[in-house]
Amino acid sequence: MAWLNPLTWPLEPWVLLGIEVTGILYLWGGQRRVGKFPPASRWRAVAFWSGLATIVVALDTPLETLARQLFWAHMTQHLLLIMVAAPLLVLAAPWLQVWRGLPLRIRRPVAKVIIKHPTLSGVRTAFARLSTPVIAFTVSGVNLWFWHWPAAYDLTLQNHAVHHVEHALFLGLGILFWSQVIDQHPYRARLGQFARVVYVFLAAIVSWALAALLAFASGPFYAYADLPSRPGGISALADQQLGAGIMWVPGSITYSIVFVVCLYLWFGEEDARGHALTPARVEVAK
Amino acid sequence: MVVSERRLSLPNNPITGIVLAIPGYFAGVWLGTLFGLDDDQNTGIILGYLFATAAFLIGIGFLNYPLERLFGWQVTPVTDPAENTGIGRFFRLSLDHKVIGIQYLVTILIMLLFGGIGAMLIRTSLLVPDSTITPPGNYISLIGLHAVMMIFITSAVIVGPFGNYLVPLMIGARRMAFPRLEALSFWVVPPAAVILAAATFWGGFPTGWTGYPPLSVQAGQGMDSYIVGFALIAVALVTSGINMLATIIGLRAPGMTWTRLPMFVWGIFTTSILGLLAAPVLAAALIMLAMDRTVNTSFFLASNGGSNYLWENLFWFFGHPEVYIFILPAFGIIMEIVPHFARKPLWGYRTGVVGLFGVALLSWFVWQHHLFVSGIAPVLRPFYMLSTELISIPTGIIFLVVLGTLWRARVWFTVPMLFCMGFLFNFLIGGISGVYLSDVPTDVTLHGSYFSMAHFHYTIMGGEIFALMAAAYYWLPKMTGKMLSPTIGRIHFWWMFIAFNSTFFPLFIVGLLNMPRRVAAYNPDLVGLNRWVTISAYFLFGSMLVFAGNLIYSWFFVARPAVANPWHARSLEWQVPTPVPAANFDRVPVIVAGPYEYGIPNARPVADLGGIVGATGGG
Amino acid sequence: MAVRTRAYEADAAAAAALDTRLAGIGTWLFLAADLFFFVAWWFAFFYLRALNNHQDWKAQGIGPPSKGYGAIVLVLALATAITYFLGSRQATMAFLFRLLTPVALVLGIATCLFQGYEMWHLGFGLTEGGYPSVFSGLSGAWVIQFALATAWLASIVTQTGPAGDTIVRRQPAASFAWILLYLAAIGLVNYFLLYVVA
Repeated sequence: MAWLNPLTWPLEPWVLLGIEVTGILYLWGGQRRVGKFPPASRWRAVAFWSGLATIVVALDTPLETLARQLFWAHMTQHLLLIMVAAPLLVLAAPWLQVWRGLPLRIRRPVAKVIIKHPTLSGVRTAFARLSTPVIAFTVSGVNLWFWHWPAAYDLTLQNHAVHHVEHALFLGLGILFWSQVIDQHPYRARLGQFARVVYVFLAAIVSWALAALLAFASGPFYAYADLPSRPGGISALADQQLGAGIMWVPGSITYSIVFVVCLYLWFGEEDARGHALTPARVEVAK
Repeated sequence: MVVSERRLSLPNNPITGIVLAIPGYFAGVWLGTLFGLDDDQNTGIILGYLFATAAFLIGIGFLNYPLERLFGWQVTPVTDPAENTGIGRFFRLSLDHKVIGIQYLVTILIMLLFGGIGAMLIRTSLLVPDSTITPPGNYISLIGLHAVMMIFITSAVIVGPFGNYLVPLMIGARRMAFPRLEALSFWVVPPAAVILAAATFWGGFPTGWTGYPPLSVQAGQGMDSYIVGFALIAVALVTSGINMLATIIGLRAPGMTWTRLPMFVWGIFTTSILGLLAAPVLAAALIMLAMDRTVNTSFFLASNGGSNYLWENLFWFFGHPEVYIFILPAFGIIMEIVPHFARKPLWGYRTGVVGLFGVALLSWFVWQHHLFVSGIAPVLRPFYMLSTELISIPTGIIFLVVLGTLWRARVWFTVPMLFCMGFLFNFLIGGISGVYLSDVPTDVTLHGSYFSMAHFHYTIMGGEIFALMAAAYYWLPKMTGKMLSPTIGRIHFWWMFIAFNSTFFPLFIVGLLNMPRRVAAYNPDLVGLNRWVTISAYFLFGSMLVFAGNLIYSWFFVARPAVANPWHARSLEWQVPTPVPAANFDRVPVIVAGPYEYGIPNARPVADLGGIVGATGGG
Repeated sequence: MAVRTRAYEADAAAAAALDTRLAGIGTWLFLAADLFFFVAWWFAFFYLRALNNHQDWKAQGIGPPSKGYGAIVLVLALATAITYFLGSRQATMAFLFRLLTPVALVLGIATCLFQGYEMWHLGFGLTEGGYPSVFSGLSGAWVIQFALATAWLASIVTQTGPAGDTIVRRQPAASFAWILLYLAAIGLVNYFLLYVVA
């Protein structure tokens, strides 16, 4: 099996560089104890490394080669980024630790500029707005649909730089989305637990609608159809339907897990509210 | 506009309804012929049914409120509290949810009798391996009528009687959110049943309950009964859904947090979500079918730009959630009743609720498993196989919740508890046979055979109907004020359980031996099994007669009055007197504990019924 | 989601607040159900268009009716909804409500009449393929719902007499604005599908 030989795998320098740098900073950051932020607990570290490993699997293994020929493989890549890597990274909440990997003499001036510099105030406001639940939902949803527009999709197949941008957007906006519903220690997401349940459900519908469109299409949309043949000998239409199916069912696993977990957490909150209520505390209506 | 005291002078009752419906039907038929369409009178018949139903509803009194709003008259309360006694109120439009519950109960049981007779005719026809008893054209019509009647029944048999009666009592409310909508959801059911039965005058319909085109477009006038009857049931599902959900969301008593809600209410809640959202899709599909049959559009005719797959996808997008509408209330009942008779807290309350939601959610994703052999894109089939198999996980979770509750419990084996045990046995078999059918390779062989027929009878009859019996024995003492005889109840249970399994288990075998559904003629080698099944079916029908006999005996002969809480249960509906007062609670209760806290030291009673001082009136 | 601590029927204010809450919940539930109804029609549109069985999605020479007509209907529907919405935002049944609601009613009736007129002069027969079928079914279903909403609006108008609100409960009257806005939005989507995408 030739593909088991890592020497035959595609080399994506920017991806590997990004992973390496992030990983090294994380390790260094773990060695520094700054104030009241201890290094990450074991399971968060596992989540972090799994997230990075998923990115490598998605972008730097034979899956990448396959994705140039098969729609369903490309879909799997994207799902690994949005549905596996992004939530894992959010669960890991590594940002402070990665940041601490930088030496203090770099951190201090950079932080000062980002937080205080007046010319960046517009950027700060924009980012604050972007990370509100409704905007985050809309932007990540629009991004998802945009890259499936045939013209945009075909462009990523031809132009490797655009392809990287696409993957970066999927990962970045995925992280933004999952941050709305997964608490990143020590911070908490803005939405209440029940709101998170509804949020995740609505997001799932957005992706199901796209999957349905692709599944029921009567002809292929993308440039894969121009290839003389595909691995496995499937037709372009079957390839597209397969990708749609993958998006639909396996692609919903993360949504389902978060849905269920938030539902449980909401029940816990309701229980607490119920116990807090005693007859003495109920208003007697006159 | 001056407010006036004028009221409509027509007495509002079913007699008026029928009296208006008859000319209404003919008016519709006449109107249909006016258009001069080349449609075999389908327009006339459909309009006739619709006008008859509308006239019936007007006679019942549904137009009073909109007309009074429109002309600025004083809106008259339909039920004068002083009139709220006597048997007459069950035959009139009532806004009291308890009356609506009883109306549903009686109507559905009568419909069940007719559906059951249809089943007996089918089984009789299968005593011989050819079509001598029932010719093929009649046989398929018989199947269709039995099936559609049963679908109408099972959509509403738990939510209608028990949901209506009990949900406000269980959440501490004195009324429902939209009493008129709820009454409407009941009053469209008798017309739907009558319209369906009317199909026999036109020779029935040849498509079975699935109504696939092009046959359904080309079929005779009996098909119109299917369209209008099913559309009325869709209306019932939507109006009942709006009302139930609004009631549960908005009218919970103070202290009734979501985690203190009884499991039965969660079952009704999830069912109502499904009904609310799935029924409109069916309504759209039925309108398209009606248009194809009347004005000759071509939604479903591939030769003219349409597609039969359009119907199949729309129908099953409704059809699969529909079957979960059947079973979710049943799950709610089992999870409700078992803790009260195991005298243990419900094990895994939150898990059970998540299980119900999991089933409800996944039910939207599996519909194409009905279409594995219909020619859908082959590469999509594995995904529907996966999603269908996944739905067994939340179902299994619900089973685990029940089993966990029973674990190490000292069970009080009352008749309701026996039926719960029967449910667990039957639904296990039914559910596992569903997993077999979810696999594409198996389904390709078994689709259209008696295997799938046995699967859904095990789940619907073995599941939902057994849960119905559990609910009946458990709650009828509260609803009717009389205990049902436990001795006859036990005879009923064992007779029904044995007869049911004897009837339907061999059908798995018969299905594996390639006997197809919906066909009167079969391989003569299978005569022995079929005769066994038919005799068992007669016994099963007999068990239902035992149930009817128990009702009659207990209500009219012995008439032992029930105490307020014969089961010594904790939940709120048992804390009110029997018979239940008109406004349910004297004072709005304050809920202070969950309903399943048995055996917990110092557990508070579920509610403070002294309620909130000064809360009177309203509702 | 706070646990309710007051009895909901203890007094008139609580009862009115309950009314509002239930009207709002009921409205959302109804709109969710109705949305699924239209989604089924939109699915039919895209599905039949993609399949184009027998090349008969649109038979030879058939096209959408005049975009102008469709636009007029849409504009009237939006005007109805917006007018009523503005009027119903009044906390009491003030002058603005009593003025704008009849205006909305007139616009609503005009919408239904124009749509009816268009349906009578479609320029193609219903039997001529998939597109005509979906057009007539979808527009027909929409205009019937809009007509029923207009009838309900008429009942609101008749109840807000010169003496002020006598019978109609004001909060459900305010909730009704969402139904009209929703129907107008559905009309917008239908316009886009039936006239632009076609």
